[in-house]
Amino acid sequence: MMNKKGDEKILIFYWIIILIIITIGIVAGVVHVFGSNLDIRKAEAGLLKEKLVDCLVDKGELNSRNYNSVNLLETCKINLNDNTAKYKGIPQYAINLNLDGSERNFGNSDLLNEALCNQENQPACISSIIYVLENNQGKFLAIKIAVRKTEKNE
Amino acid sequence: MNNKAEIGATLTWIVATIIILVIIFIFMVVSGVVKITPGTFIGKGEISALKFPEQQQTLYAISKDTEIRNLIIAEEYDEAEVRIKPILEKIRTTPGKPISGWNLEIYKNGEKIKKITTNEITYGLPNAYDKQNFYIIFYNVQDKYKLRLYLECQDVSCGDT
Repeated sequence: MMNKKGDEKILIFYWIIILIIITIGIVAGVVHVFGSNLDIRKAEAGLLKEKLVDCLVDKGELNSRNYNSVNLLETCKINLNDNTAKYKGIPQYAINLNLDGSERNFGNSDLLNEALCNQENQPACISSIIYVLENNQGKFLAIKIAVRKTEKNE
Repeated sequence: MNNKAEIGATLTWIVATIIILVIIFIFMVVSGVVKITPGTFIGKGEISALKFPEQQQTLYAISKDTEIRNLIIAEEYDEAEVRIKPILEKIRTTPGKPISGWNLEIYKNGEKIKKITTNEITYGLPNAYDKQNFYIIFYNVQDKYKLRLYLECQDVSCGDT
């Protein structure tokens, strides 16, 4: 009986040590993988751009009705309001559309300052050019998108 | 006997502890290898790199452009190249766009007639981040034309600047 109790004490001792080691290992692993700063603003801007392209261009042809819509964002079901507590009411996005020189801006266009784009602690920006047809005329549609949210990505 | 039993149990647990430590070490090394670096996802997860909507829409527009289509149907392929190449160049050379190359091939009735390239690329380049090809088919009377766009990207942010 005495010996069995002694064995159990040893087992409990090692069991606790192993639990502590495993806990430290899991915590270290999670911190190691997810602790690094992950800036997804470019991916966010990319998604926004894809949504715009899907809305404005249909099989190579410009959807003039959508493009010239007064409420283009509403038409394309795009909401640029960031309603998170940190940015409530402060514009964090900018969209610039340029169809052969004819420009349209949405959101906070100050964010599209090319000197600041993609610099440290500055907005993340992407741009793309698409060849589109409007009334069988070939035109270039340039899309620029900026996402600020610098405080969240310092 | 009692001491031997204790030594046996202790050794068992020491070995078990060492095995667990080795397993944890392996996991930590693996997680270090695949760890997420700022601005990217693991593997090919960069969302905008997967669909290439601009390139697809551009290929659609080229195939529907009456002027280009008439040149192709009239077999004036060199003229078609003069018309198509600047379009591809303009899109490819958007500042910072890391697309390594485009090939646009014109097929007529299954036979490759013309290859227009902005930057000669090797098919199946092993270290290219992403490779995509899109094609559009159109008909003129009984002739079948295919425009095939092949592109390779150098890194995860392909398609964006």
